[in-house]
Amino acid sequence: MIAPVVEWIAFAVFAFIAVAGALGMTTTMSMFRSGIFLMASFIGVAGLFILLLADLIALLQVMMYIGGMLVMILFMLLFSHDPGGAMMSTHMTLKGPERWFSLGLARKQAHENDPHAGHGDGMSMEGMSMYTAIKRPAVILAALTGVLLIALLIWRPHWAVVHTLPDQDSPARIGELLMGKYMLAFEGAGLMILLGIFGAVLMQRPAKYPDSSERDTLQAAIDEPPPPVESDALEPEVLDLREDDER
Amino acid sequence: MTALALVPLAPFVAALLILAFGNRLPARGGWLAVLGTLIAAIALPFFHDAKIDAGIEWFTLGPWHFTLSLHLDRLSWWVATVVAWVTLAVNFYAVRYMQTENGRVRFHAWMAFFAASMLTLVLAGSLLLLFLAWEGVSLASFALIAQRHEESDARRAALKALLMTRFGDFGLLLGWLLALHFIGTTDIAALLGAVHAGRLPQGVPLLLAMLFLAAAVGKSAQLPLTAWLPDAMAGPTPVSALIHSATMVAAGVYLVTRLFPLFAAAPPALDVVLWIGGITAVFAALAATAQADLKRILAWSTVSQLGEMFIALGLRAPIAATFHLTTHAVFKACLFLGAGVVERATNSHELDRLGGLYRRLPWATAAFIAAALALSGLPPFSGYWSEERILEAAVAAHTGWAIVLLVLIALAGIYIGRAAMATFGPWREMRNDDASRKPWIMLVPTLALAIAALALGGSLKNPVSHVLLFAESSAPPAWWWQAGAIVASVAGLAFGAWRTRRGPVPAFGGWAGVLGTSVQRIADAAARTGDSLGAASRTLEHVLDRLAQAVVAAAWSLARGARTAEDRGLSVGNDRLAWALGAAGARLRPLESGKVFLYTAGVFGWTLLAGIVITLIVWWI
Amino acid sequence: MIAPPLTAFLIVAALLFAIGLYAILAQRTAVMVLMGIECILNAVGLNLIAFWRFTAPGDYSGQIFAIIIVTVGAIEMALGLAIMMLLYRNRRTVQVDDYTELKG
Repeated sequence: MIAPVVEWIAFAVFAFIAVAGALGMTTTMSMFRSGIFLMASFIGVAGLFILLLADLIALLQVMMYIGGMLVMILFMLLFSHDPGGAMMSTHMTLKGPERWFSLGLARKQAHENDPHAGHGDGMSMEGMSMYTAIKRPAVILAALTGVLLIALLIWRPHWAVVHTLPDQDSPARIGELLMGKYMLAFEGAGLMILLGIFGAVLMQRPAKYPDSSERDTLQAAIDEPPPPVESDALEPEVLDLREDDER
Repeated sequence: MTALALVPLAPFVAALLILAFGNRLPARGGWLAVLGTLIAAIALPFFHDAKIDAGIEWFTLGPWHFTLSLHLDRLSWWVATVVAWVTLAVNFYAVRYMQTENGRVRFHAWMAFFAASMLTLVLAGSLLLLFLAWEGVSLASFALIAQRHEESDARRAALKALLMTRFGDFGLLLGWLLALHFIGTTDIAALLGAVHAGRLPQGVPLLLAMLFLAAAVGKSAQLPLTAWLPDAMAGPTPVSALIHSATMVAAGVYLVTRLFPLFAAAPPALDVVLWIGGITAVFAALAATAQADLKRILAWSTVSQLGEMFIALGLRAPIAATFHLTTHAVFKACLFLGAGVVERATNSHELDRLGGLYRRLPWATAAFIAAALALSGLPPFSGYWSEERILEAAVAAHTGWAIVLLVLIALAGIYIGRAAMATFGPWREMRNDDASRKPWIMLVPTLALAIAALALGGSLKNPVSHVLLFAESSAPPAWWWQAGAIVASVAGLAFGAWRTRRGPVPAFGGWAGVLGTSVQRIADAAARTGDSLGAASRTLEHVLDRLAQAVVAAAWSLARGARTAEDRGLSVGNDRLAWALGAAGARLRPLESGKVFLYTAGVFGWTLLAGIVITLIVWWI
Repeated sequence: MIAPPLTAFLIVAALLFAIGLYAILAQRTAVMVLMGIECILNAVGLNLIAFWRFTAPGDYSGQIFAIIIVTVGAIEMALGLAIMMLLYRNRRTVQVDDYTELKG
């Protein structure tokens, strides 16, 4: 057994890596850095898993998330038009964590030549901002959520904690469970992965979609207002009853 | 439906076909009309022993059942056969007669339609169908009288006939509606059954009988609705022969015969029938003696003979009435057809302009004379036998009526002897001699009817009692009555013929003719009164028009006011409301911006709010 | 002194959840949104393992759940990549707030 102090230190380090990595992922201007920060966060969480004596899950975390998914994420980054975030950090005034996590991204020269430099934040540069229009409410919402959750945790930590240690040979136990009790769930997960692969492949097949010009004409036809009503006169022709008078 | 429906349907289909294709058919569809009638005439004998009661319920209205049905018994079979064969003869005749006239398609179609309507009328088993057919024959009569619509006389006569018979038709309409009210169905058998069982309230049979009698009087041109029939002679002669002597006018007599149990249950109504018939018969016979027009003599004669049938009905002798209806249909049709031959040969039916035709038209003369002898009641011609039956009933009832009948026989001899002698007799030759055409085809049906008029009476004398199942006392009158009838007939004929030796003067002087014209004057005066009432109503109409115009104007100004109010007030308010709604929608629109993060924010914001609230609640507790 | 308690791990998970939520709400790029989702999935997994460790260490079902969550995350990422590439091919953009065709 390791001493509680060592455990605390390890926990603090891993927790810091996890939380700071997540924070960096969402605040940096560079999407590439985002990916790297997310990887750090995953590693921190994996450390916490080890601390929690879940070696298999930690291993899985590292292999699946870091080895598999981050590769996919980095592929996706290739589609965005500023994966490095240089333009973004050059044209925006950054504060707090954003500034810290984006250090070294800006290009000094472009910054000086741009007449709009330092003009407003992401909100004002609609086309280029990394952020949606509700960044500030999102900050408040996320902060409130975190505060609420933490407050609840501190206020009512009444879980029936068991002071025993799990079996050292946990992967073998998990394997037995997967092949026995949770066979169905396991197979279901496998089937889901299969379907996911099919879905992803099918979506990438070339298909017929209206190209943009045709879509524009269709949209124009839809947007065109209907012709105005020409006449709504209701008055019928007046019957002339006086012709009888001559008779 | 039963095969019996073929009988009225065949001429009806013929009428439709003539209307559709008449212009392309030989004789403008005339032969098709003959064919339609021929089918009916040939089909009818096959039903002679049948007793058919087939029908459908047209619709039900609350407790009232409106039925359409055909009913065939001995009586309706008999009359239908007579109608069909006389119609056949006249239709055949009309093909040639109409050859020189305009509007032949119309004429033949209406003739076929008339045949269909008349057969339906005779065979109808429900009052509703009877009423429809009754109106159908009225319509056909109207259209056929006005066949020569270029002549104002024909138009006026057609209108007069339609309007005067309309009085009677109201009686029929009210009658069947009343019967429907009391027995819940329009079935004739049900009505007669109810009468027989005495289920109708006190007085209702009398009321019904009087209403139906009104219809019969109108249709059979009895007093006071006589005036239209002589005028109806403005129509073509086949029309006069068929509709206004042989069949349609006999429909009144047939109606009373058909509903005879109803009349028998209401003796006062039968007395009214008797008196109307008696007065009309004498009156019309007198009027006939003074006419100067061959067809008008025959018309008045028809009225008189129909009056005799009414007398027979009033004397509770429906067999005699039906028998006389049969013989009269035959010989009167023959007389008219003979008159038509004369008319076609000489372009005239004024007695003034006729005379001595026996040399030029020997066959027509023979036919006319035979039918005239039948009319005057000489044995062995058919009229003798049927009038003998009436006389028999009269003798059994009251001697007075027997004397009236002898007078009528004498008068019939007088007017028909006068007409025959003035037309064909050797007293004088025609003045304007342009009779060059010899319409042989027209002679065929005329002679056929003449032979029938000669032979029918004797041959039917006994069968008629077996065929028509009415309870009727049958005691032959004493020999002196029969002898009296023959003497009266011979005397009448001789007197009538003798009176024409110096031209066709009225047999008893002009006063008899005045009788006839007076009836028409009275009718005309009534019409004029109605007309002046109509003129007065025109003023009333003007006032009503003004009122209506005022109402309309008020409504328009109201509408304009409403429109102004709408333009200035409501519509502005509505615009404001719409604008406000639109503005509110525009404000709310960002919520549905289609941006994913907003929806996510909504979900999580809501979850957070719920979490906070639940936390606070739990904490509070 | 005792080892880090359950609450400490849960607080870390809560922080990760809040940060992931912020990423989902605030980021425009679809990739970043997916990363936020990954973050939240991580928080959930951490929660599961922590609860397993401290309340039911003898029963390994908690770890099974974590494995399934990893599976779901993998599928989500793969499909997210596919959808994104499809959208990019059609619309030439990966900004989620440009996909507004369903707006009212």
